[in-house]
Amino acid sequence: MSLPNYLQRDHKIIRGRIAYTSNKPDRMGHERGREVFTVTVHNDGRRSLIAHAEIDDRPSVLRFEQLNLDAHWRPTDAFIRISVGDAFRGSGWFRFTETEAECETFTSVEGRISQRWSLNGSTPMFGGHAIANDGWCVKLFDLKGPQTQTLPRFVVSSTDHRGATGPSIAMASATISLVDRDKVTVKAGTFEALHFRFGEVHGLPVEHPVYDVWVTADGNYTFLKGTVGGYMMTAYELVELSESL
Amino acid sequence: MQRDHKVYTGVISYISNKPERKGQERGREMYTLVVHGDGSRTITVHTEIDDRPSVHRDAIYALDKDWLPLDCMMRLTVGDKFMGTGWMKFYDTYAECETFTATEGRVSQKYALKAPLKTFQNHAIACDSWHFKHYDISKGGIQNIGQILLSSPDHRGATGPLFYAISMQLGYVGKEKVTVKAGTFDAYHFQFPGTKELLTEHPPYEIWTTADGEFTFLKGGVAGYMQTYYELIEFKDITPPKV
Repeated sequence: MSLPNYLQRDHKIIRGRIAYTSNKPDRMGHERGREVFTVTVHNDGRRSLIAHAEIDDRPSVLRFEQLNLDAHWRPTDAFIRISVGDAFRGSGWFRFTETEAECETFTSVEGRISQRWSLNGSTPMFGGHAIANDGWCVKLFDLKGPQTQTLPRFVVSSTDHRGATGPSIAMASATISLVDRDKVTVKAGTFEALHFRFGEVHGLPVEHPVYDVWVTADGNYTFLKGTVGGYMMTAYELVELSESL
Repeated sequence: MQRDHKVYTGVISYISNKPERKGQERGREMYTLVVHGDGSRTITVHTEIDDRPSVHRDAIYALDKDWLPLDCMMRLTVGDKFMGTGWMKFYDTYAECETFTATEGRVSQKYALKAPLKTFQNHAIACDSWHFKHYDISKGGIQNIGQILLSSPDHRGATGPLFYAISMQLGYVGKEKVTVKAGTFDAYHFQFPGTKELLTEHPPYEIWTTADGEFTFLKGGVAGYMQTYYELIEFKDITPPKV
């Protein structure tokens, strides 16, 4: 049924829920966090992510993220608010242009900071540590290129593996491989998927373990599932997905 | 494992009360509310108003344990086009706003305050009911809670985000039991009597909130030219079990 002319619904919604579980032998399969996200895809291809994430591992991390991309998947602005150990840690707003990344932030450790970083071309992505955001990062991989690629450097809100510092501007990149293209079944359903492996993440003070990520192959790069090895031994799975609020 | 917080989700339906559109859905709002162990709270709220030009608003708004505003992030799309993105931070003696809008460009605002702000108006319906936390029911009548800041003087919040100051008047009607699609609740019935301090006068606005101290928005209606109605249609406590 067509809408009356006085109503405007030109956008699409992707809404999901991701379960965080442990792969450690003594906690195998135990829930250790969760994330809900809403993606708005505008008619011209711009998209926004708003996500709320909870990591229960002590000290707990609660994250509120809002990220916006232009029609070419380049970030225009973002916001991160985090609590660590159930106490305020930081609240910061990011904006990106062709020549600059700026961050206006207030944290419990550093106080009020204004950052301006010169860029030679706009940052190709933003990493705000929501797992749904991780799925978007692999959009930087050229599917027509070699099987293993080092992504261009992009702005991240924290170099901590859980994103539990800042938020402030830092730069990182990753060497990732396309492992497979296959059908994947998660609790949210069965999807045509791309399987990537983050072999090395560059720019972090502590080496990040290998991270396998499966995303939808429909062009939306919706996070489907993931596992992190090494000391983290964590797993993530899309357990709900809908196209309405 | 640490699970000291509580989490709630809600969905509010926006309906028209205009005779020719009576009962027609004209928007919706979905929110996730986290209440921390110390009583401070953060809401993540996504709003869609379908009336042309459509308004989409993402807001992340944090209050301290006394329900005083800490900071707020907002992003607006109007007519499915970018309108503005901004971050507002509140201190005892001033408030600051860092914003970029399609109309004004990059703006930094600093607003001196005579006293800490009691509340902030970000235009999410879920947060409209929170203003009444600062109403003293034992005294009744129309109460002025002093100067507050808005993210926009537009009735739909469709400009900025930029600071706009008004004084806020609140009224109280009584205690009632209210049934909405999300359930039946003991409720307070409040009123915004209307204000002439905006660029155009806002019609009177009736609001029902839970009477459990959380001031959860249950239903509301705006009169005058707007003729809109809002109702909580889903509310869930999704707090993970204690470990």
